[in-house]
Amino acid sequence: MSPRRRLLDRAFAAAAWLCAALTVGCVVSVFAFVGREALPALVARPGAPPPRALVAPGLGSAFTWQPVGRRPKFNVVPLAVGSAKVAALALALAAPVGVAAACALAFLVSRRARRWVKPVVELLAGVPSVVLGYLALTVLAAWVQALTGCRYRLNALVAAAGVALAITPWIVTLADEALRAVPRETLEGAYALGASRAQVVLGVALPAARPAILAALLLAFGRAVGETMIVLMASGNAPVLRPLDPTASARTLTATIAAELGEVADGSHHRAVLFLLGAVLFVGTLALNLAAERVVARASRRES
Amino acid sequence: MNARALDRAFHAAAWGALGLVLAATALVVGPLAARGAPHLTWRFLAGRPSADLADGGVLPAIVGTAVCTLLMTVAVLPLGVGTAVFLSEYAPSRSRAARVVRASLRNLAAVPSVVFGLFGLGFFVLGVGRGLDRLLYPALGPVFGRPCVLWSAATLAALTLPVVAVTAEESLRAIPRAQREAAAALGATRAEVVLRVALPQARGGILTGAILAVGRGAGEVAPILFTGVASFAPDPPTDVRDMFMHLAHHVHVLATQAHDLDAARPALEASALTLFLVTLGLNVVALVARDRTRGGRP
Amino acid sequence: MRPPASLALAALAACSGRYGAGAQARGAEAVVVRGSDTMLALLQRWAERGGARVQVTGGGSGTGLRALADGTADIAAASRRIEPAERDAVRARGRGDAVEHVVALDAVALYVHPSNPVAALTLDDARALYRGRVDRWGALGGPDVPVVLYGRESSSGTYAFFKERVLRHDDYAAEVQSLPGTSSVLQAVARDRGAVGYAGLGNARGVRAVPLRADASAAAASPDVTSVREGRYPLARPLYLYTAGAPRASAARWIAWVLSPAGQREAAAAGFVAAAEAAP
Repeated sequence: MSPRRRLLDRAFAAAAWLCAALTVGCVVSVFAFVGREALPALVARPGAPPPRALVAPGLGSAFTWQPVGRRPKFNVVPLAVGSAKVAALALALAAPVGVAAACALAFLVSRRARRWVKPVVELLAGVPSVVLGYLALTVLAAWVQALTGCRYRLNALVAAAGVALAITPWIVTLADEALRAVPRETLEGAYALGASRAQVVLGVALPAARPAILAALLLAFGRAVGETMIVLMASGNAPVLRPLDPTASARTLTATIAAELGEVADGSHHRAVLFLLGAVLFVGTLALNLAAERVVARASRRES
Repeated sequence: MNARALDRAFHAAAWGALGLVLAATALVVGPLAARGAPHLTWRFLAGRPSADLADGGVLPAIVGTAVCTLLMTVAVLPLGVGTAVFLSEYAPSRSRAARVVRASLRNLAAVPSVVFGLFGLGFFVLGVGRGLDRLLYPALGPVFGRPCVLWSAATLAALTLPVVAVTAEESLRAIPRAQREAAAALGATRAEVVLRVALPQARGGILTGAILAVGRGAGEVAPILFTGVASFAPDPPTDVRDMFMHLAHHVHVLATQAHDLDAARPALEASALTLFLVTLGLNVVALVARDRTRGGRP
Repeated sequence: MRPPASLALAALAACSGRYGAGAQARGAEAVVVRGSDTMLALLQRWAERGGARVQVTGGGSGTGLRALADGTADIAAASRRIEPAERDAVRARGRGDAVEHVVALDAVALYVHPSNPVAALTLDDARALYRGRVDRWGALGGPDVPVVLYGRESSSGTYAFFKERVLRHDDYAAEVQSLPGTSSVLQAVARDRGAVGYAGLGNARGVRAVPLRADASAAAASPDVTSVREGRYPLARPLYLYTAGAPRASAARWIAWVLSPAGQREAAAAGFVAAAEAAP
């Protein structure tokens, strides 16, 4: 072999290893960087509120997020609750509809119809989230107010409806794949025993696909938690702590970062807290992904 | 509940849900197209924005989006394909290296876009940018150390890396082993097998990944918000250190900061439609390319 | 094409000559203005007609002053005065102290839905509203509708100004909805019968501005150009452009134009009061 070819071989291998290393480096540096900038918020510093003020209630049991002012208050509880509330509501809206629609797509729709139905569903996935946010702000807000007569036009429910629009196509696609992955023999066996279509789907297919569907729902929840533009435009962004009221406004972790990052000074407590919110988001979505993987892994181990 | 009633209920619920999803799609896309289309004139697409953004066009936003995503693609393609080549050609499937890289890709895909914005501002703009300034322009004001299209593209590249790497790896794995073995039997080095046999055949999948990445990059606002986008930059970016306008950001600005929303609504709806058509077009092309390379599995 | 290619591209682009010492001396670099959303339309107008290459981005007065201190903006547009801590941050950059230019006058008005007939409010009423102490408009002479409070994000100069002058540094109620720009506040108020929002002057459509009085004994003044010019409106405020030390040639030329009669005419056309016309 000529030395040139050998050199090329070696260089190419090195390049591939380098790319892989850079990929790992990428995620590590995101994690490390965000974490490093967030650390000052967790350490007691002079002139800044103590770290325990991040979660503990202030005077009169108030959980207040008011980062700008003479005495800034950085309690993150309303923000975390806001994120969880919007994401949970969105999942509550999207999951039943999405899974049921996936059942229809996988079992009831003819092969010919599937050829155009699936792309139409994926069309919804292609709508950018700013556009969904604008839609939520104008149309969905009016509908929700007409339906519920709620006091606040921009609230957690409106934002959740917008986010539900964003995550439903994901759930439909992933659940559909999960349902179609159930082995034909299993289904045909059930049919052979005289089961109706509904009994086969509800009694055989869904339970068999349950781990994958659960994983899909966890991923969708993670996506809902990470959604920024829709909640920024449609949730009202008020840091209210009302976990059980869907028609109260909410302020999420993501919208807070997007709205406040521009004005924070280097080295300020506010900046460190915003990075802490980012770290919380990062770790949270990572945990959800890990849980999803574990669910699938455990199920496949059980089968084999 | 007897079997017949259950069957009926199931059919009703499933068809109803599917119908709801399709109706939702129609209700989102329909008005978007209907209201935006009349204002989608040539003057709108090729004009510059006016001062209050309500009149005038979106050419700088279109060019800005194009420049940003082009730079992003230049950055992410080599890195993503290289990683895919590593996973499919160089690292044994169960090895620790492969698992670490795969886990990194999955974790990267899980990061919310706003956290990428945080990372981009702190690492690229204020970290790498300031470092470059100290090296190249020590006595001047910030040149690289401020938001510009270069850093927005870098941030988006980090965001879309998983998409490119995963689709490229998928298409590399789809190539039958026999081809690689045949080439090796003929005396090709590992590099030549990849470069001459595998990569050319994986072109479709790589293209798909690139297009999906571009589709995502054109629609995300949070990562570019603090790393380079401007609300009003009537001259399109001609240098990587310029700030730029972006279609998705433009929609956001018009929706929340337009001075007179009624006057701006036509521009807003046309911009939203343009943005949607761009991302839709890209996704359709990617779908078609993917179907063709997969053999038409719907 | 491997990563080095991308670096090569960047290096090539870096030689375009539009950045760097030569370009800065020639004034070829664009002037970057960042800050107040209240001033966004005005700034864009000035950018379009002021003769220099100007790029404008919003984000709020706080964001603009932050960018000025970081060096990522040439000019900070602010609808409130710069804070001492921000002055220190600018000075710490080493390019000089922050220089203040008053470029127009504005007023912060309270807007309600057109169907809300509430006659006039004192500053104390406004304070009670935004502290969350008023539940229904009936308590203030309006219809029996629940109060819905709209405001701006904390990066906004208007937010800070309102907090200082009306709330007297107390906290806003948690229920105040934070919207990203002036026009989102006005849009929200226009659609909500019980809404109230604060925003600057200038082409407010679909809403009704409530006359304000400083206290129960003063006369109520409507927020318009005349009352601001004559000093009768209690919440008038100057609009500022800040630079760090002496601005670059192109930036200085643009600011000079903004302060000239031509620039001030644009300010008046945008619905603000020209800086020179204020009552002392």
